[in-house]
Amino acid sequence: MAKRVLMTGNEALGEGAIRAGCDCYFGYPITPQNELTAYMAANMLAKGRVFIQSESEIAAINMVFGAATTGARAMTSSSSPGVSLKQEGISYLAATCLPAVIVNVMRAGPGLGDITPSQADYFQATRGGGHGDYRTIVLAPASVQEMHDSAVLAFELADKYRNPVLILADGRLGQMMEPLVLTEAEPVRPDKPWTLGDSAGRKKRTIRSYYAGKVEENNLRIQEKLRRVERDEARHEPHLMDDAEIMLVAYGTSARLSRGAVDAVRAEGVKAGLLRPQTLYPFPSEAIRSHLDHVKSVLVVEMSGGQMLEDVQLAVEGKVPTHFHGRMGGGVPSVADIVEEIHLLL
Amino acid sequence: MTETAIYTRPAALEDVSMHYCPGCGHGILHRLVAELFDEMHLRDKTIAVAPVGCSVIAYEYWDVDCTESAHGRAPAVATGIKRAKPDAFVLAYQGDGDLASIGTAEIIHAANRGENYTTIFINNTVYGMTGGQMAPTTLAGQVTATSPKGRDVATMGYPLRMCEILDTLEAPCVIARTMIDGPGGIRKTKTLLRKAFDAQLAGKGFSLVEVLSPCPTYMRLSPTEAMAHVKANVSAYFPVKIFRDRTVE
Amino acid sequence: MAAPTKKSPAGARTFRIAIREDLCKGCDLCVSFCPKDCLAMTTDRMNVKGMPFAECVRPGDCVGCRACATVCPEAAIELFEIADQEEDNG
Repeated sequence: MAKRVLMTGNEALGEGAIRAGCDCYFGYPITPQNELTAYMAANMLAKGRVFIQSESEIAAINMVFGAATTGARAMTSSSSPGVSLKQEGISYLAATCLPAVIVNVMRAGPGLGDITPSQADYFQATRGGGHGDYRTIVLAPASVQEMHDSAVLAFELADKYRNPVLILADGRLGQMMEPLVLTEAEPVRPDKPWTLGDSAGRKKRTIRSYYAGKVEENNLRIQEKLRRVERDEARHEPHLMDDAEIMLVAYGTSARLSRGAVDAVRAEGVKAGLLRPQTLYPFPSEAIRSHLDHVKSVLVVEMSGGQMLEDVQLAVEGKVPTHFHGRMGGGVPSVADIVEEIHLLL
Repeated sequence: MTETAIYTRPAALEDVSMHYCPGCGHGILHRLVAELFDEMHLRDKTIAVAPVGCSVIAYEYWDVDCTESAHGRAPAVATGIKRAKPDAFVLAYQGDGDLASIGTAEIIHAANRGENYTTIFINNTVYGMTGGQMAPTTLAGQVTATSPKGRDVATMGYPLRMCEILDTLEAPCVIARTMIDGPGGIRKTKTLLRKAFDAQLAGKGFSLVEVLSPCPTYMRLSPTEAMAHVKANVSAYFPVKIFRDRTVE
Repeated sequence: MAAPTKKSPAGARTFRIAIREDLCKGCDLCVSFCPKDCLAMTTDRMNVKGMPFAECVRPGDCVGCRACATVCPEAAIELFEIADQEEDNG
């Protein structure tokens, strides 16, 4: 019987990363993810692995870049303003096809905002975030267990696709405490025939994004990879979707609350269901479309002004009406608020 | 009749024409680095970090593993490489903008942590790649694309002496400034580079050599005049000296 | 670096400066720094880059100081010592 432990989301993510074989962690303090940085400081150093509190979030992402060139499993974490700082570095990781794990424990924005939770970095997370044509794979945990699981999956996907992977959480998930089961599986590390160093007996290798006259070729390679990611890695969790007439689409903390609202209205006889994306890129568009033969309206719930809403609208293609309920600036929708929104759709 | 080679092109330097302007200090410095790669048998273990600047494609010229790095971030990239793979010989090669402008935080903190890699800081007092703009190291009164009437220290600040700044830190092992002003300065540069490389190989921590270098194009001088200018004027503000050498401790 | 050969009884050592014409950019540094004026830029020929290039015009005056090879930004200059045929190699 696997042991269940009680941890906060931030710590569970850290422990998942360590068990997944994270070799190097570089981070800078920012609320609400400081528990993760502190957890990594204590545990990475205790295990003789690399931990640096970097001078900035910019330095941290570039340290990740450097470590990744050697084949190391490298990770950084931050919260919204700090993740904004990392965007150039993430673009470089994507352009050079380096694996890396980046964690964004979202807080209210824009600007300094607040340390309260939000989901307002969805656009930044799912549209690359930095300059150029690329995407990061985006995982959206909705429980402390999934905070741990997403760290393990993130390193696997990063190595599998040679692409940065972003774990998009929010301050509430980071701080909440729930029981979880920690993985005991040994990390499986794929061969990396592209790493730098120990070059005896082979031609030199260059990690680069600039190719005189051939940057379009590099882009086409990246796009071809992203099509494979889209084909194979979309993940979602349906709840009471088989006969749902009203489909809620929500992720992370919003999904937990939406599930509560779905259960509440089901008790009243309303056929609501929740489709919870677990990957935001690739977005589970096919799964959404697969329910449009019985769903009559869609309600998107986010802690933002409506960002994932646009991906839902793209998936739905106007076939059924799409509605939105959101809170911004640290506001969190309540189950009662969501229930009221559902009632308005009836 | 037999011939003995006295000097031949280093094997670690790729047999291609480099894109630098005639008389550019980069070509000389790349050659010195290649000579040291050969003499110290470093090619197999080297991971070099190229900057953004005229030498952004330095990896085309050395036969060693190399990575790009974002502008100014080479010290962070080098830190990540060396911490993840301590047996690598890590060399970061940076220009004025990279090290003394956008990357000031990174170089100070990497030096402060005593990261065990080597930095070559090529200071030619100007931003070459982007067309000759003012650099943090541009001399007072020097005309550049963004100081068209000459650097006005009242509004543009004074040139930054990075070796002096880094010399205030506890951790670094080797900090030195040399110049490319002719064969003598070039030989002394190689000696200091070798010392810096030795410091890393001995695990003694952070080493940096700042090399005052000619940029004939944006100094608007012939190559020979540019070297004379480095000797007479640039080194008058940026003194050539060994700030510290803890390899002897 | 090769060990210097024994000087012949006549005292002079002979060197050969080899300059890669295809790499030379005509920067004139080798000409400027040669202490013996052995080198000169061509005035009547261009290389494949369309530039005048440096060549050794007075090889007999070369003292093997390596200043030229040291200043060359293109690593275009190599230096060889030619052993005297009459030298006692015993």
